[in-house]
Amino acid sequence: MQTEQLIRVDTFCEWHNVEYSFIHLLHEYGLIEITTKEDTDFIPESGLKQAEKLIRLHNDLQINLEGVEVVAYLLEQLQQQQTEINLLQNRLRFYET
Amino acid sequence: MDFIDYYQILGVKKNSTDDEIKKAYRKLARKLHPDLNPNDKESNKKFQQLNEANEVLSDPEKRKKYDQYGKDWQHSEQFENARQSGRRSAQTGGQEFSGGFGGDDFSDFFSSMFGGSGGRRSQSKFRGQDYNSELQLSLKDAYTTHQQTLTINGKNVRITIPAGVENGQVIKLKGYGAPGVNGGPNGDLYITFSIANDPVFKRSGNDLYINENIGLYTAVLGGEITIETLSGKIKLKVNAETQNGTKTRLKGKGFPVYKKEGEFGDLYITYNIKIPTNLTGKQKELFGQLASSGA
Repeated sequence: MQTEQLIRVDTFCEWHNVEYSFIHLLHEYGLIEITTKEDTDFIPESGLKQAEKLIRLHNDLQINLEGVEVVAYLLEQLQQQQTEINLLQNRLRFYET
Repeated sequence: MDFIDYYQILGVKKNSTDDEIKKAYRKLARKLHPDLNPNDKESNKKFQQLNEANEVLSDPEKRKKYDQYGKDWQHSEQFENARQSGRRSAQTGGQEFSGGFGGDDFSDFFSSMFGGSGGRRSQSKFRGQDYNSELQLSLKDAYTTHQQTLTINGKNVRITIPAGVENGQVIKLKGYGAPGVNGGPNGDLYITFSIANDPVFKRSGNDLYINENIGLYTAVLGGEITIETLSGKIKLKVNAETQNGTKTRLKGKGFPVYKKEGEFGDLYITYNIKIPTNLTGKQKELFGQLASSGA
C-alpha cells in the first residue's frame, strides 16, 4: 500500500504567512487538493509545490485568483506541450540516423 | 563590484514617480517571474536584479540615499559618518537600514550600500528555485546501472543511474536546488538524461535495432555469423536462402527495462546482403552457369 505525507493546512499557512481562507479559495477553484481527516485539513506533499507556486504568483505579482487560475492552466498546457515536443524529438532522433 | 543602475533595470527615468516605478516593476515582474520561466536561468537572474532595484527605488529613504551618492556609493559610508559626526551633539547616528531578513539574494553592491539586508516588507518564505540540468550519456552508459558524480553549485553529488533510462527522462534530487528564501526549504534539482545516438544500435523503447551485413554465399547457403550486442558477442545461425532485408528477432537481447531487474527488450537484426565485387573470370563464369541453369 502506498502512503503519502500530509501537511496540516494551518502549519502551511503559518510557514508561508498566508490566510487559511486563501488556501480554501485555491481549493474551491480546483487549483489544489485538500484532504480532510478528523476535522483537520491537510495538503498532500505532492501538492505542496503547486500550492507554493500559486502563492508566489498571487503575492509577488499581485495576481487575483481568477488570474492565478488562468496562469496555472496555461503553465500546465505549456508543460504538456513541452513534454510532447520532447517525446516527438526523441522519436525523430530515431529516424534521423 | 560594479555600480548597478537600478533605474536602467526597471527601465524608468531618474525623475520617475513612485507610481511609475511600481508599474514598471509589476510589468517586468510578470515577464521575468521564475514560476513563469521555469527553465530560464537568465530570467531568474534578471528577476533577482529587478527585486533589488524595486527594493531600493520603491523605498523613499533608500532611493534618496541611492540618488544622493550615485556612482560614489563606495564612499557613502564615509560621507554618512562625516555628516553624522557634524550633528552628533543631539542624536546618535544609527544604522538606517536594518531589516531583519537575510539579503543573500541581493548583490554585493546592495549589501555595501544598504548594509546587507533587504528590509523586505511582506515576502513570505518559500522554497528555493528548482534547478534543471542535463546529463549526457552514451547508449552503452545507459545500458548498465552505474554511478556518476556531478558537481552542483560546488557540491559533489553521487547519483546512481539505473540501467534502462530513457532519452529525455528526468530524475529529481530533493533539496539540491537553490536555497530557500526567508528560511524556506531548498529547491530540487531535476536532471534530464540526454542519450546520444549510437552509430550501430538504434533504440526504440526497450528494443534495439541493428543492420548486419552478411555475405552472398552465407545468405544463399546458410551459415553462422557472430554479431556484437551490448552484452557481448553472440553466434547466430543464418538460414539458407535468406533474402536481403530479412528481419530476425533475438528475444531478451535488447535494452534493459528501467528498474525491472532481469527484464530486457528484444534485439531486431536486419540482414543486408553484400554482393561480392572484383570477381575473377572463373567466378563470373560460374555465376553465368548458375544463371543459365535457371537458379
